[in-house]
Amino acid sequence: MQELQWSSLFAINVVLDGIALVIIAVLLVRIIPMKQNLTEIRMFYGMCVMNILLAVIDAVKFLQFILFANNNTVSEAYVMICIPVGEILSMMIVVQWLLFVNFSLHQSRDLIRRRYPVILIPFFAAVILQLGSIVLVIAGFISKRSETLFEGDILYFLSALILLFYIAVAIVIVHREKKRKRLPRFVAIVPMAICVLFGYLLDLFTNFSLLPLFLAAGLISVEYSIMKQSSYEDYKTGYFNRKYVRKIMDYIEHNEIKGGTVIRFSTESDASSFAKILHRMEPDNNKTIFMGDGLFLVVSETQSEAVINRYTSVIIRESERRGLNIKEEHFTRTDEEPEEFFAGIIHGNRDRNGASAEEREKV
Amino acid sequence: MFFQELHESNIHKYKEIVGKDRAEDISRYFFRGIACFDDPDDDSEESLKAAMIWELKSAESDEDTASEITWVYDAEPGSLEAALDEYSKRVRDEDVRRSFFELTDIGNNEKDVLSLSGFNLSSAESRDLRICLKEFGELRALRRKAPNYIYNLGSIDSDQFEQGMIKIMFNQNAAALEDMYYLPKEWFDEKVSCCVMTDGCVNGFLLVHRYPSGLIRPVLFYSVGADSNYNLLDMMRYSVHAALAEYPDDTPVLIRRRTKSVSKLTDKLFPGKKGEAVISGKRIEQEDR
Repeated sequence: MQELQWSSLFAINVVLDGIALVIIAVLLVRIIPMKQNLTEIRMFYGMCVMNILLAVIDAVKFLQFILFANNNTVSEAYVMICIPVGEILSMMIVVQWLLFVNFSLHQSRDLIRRRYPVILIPFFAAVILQLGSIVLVIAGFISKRSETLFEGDILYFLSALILLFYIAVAIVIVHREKKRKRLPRFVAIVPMAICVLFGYLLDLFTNFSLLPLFLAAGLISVEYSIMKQSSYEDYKTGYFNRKYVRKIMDYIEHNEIKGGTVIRFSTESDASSFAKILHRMEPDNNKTIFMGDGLFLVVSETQSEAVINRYTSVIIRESERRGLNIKEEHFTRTDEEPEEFFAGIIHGNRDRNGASAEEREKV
Repeated sequence: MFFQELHESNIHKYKEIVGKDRAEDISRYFFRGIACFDDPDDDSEESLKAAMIWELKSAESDEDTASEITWVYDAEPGSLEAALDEYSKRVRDEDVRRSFFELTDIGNNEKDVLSLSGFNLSSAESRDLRICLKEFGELRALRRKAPNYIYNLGSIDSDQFEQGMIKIMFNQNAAALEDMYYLPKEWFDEKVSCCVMTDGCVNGFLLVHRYPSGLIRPVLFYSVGADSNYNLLDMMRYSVHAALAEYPDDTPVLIRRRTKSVSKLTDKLFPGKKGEAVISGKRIEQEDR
């Protein structure tokens, strides 16, 4: 009777792993056609592949429990190897997620290269310990001394600590970036963090193996971030698209941001060539939006006429040097509503002093 | 009295009196100078009666323009008063609202004249700190070698230099010099100055100028983007190592404590270090609009 109960439990776990696999398959099918954010998508693929492996290893573990009832040393050794492998995979998913968060925020490969040799030290240390435990399992299997096999608990807690550390790192990175840059963003870290934590806790305190499923649920939020960010991006220029203007307006209104300048660059030449020039000289807190038809809006927090003039003159000179014909105008926001301000700029009926042409005519 | 404007082409005549470093400054964009003579046909160094050099501040920003008097010279009683009158006329023409100075090398006579001309004088500690290069080398935090993404200024081209400057320009407090964005790359000490490169773009600078007297002055220390604080420390390491390799240990380094963050940094690096005693003064040239 008890055996039957255990078999049902194992079967439920296999089903849970199956659900995780289905979720990941759906996520992959949805994201494959995307053309933007390719680096983030590659990172996402990595997370998915590791979660598939985790779910498959987990499912096989429970299947062999059902089939062989855990009564031979080979299956026992398999289970003992599955545990550290699972730990390594789940840590790898969280590390990959941390890389993803970092890249989404800063869009910088160099930054990742510089930060991660230090941040990844705990991860590599834990991997070495887990691999050590696999060696112990194999050694125990060969020497038939099973007492060396049961040392997994400490490693499990160690993995949990490392995962907590990486979640904390992700929260700190996002928080610091939020303080540094006053701009709308798309990276949501809370759902994935909650999924990892609950997956681990439920794995630890219940008989259900829920980590692959919870990680898959967390990946839904990661995919959602990519999709959301991509919907605001123009993949040819690498800049935000016109939909982002609404996002910026809402952000300005919500945070009661005063002032700022919008520079309007228009070109009849190749927009992506001009975008390359802008990319190279993009100041930290500026955001550039490609409105289509060769029109770019650069949103800046500065109101200094001298700074804007110098910036635009260098951009124009650089463009002319490369044979691009660029027209420039800039507009300083005073106390107008963001919607009114942006509408005038986009439709080209606003003069440089902030009043619209119609308004001036009335006066 | 006859007044002659000091500029690049005539400053060599008065180099002995003006000094090598100030003579170099006069060629810069916001620096102005006048020399005062009795005889318009004799503008030799021996017949120089009084002279002044000043720098326009915030001339291109949205703030009111100010003028900082960086040097006064008085050879004959009565001449400096005339030079100050001429100075007032000239700065008003440039829409200067207030004048100020912080001078070390002035005598009682100059002090009296400045006071009589309407300057409120007071004794103060200089905002400039003079630190020996060796003292930088002794700092524990700077002993480590800088990482390989910190590049020598000489190794980047002028396009990359300009791109980096454009990024930094958006923070108006970054530059210590009014004419920072007009100065060519060659004006900075290319052996000691450095920059940080991220994804092929310059993201920060530590620019140092070496005056003809040998004095070293860091004039831009700024980094943008994430990890900018780490980059600043790494650039400092790079420049200190490069300067120690290039110049004698007793080379003076001038740090102007122009913002709270610079003062905080110098207090941390060199606790207890004080600036020289100076006479500071200020005067309103024109009332606010």
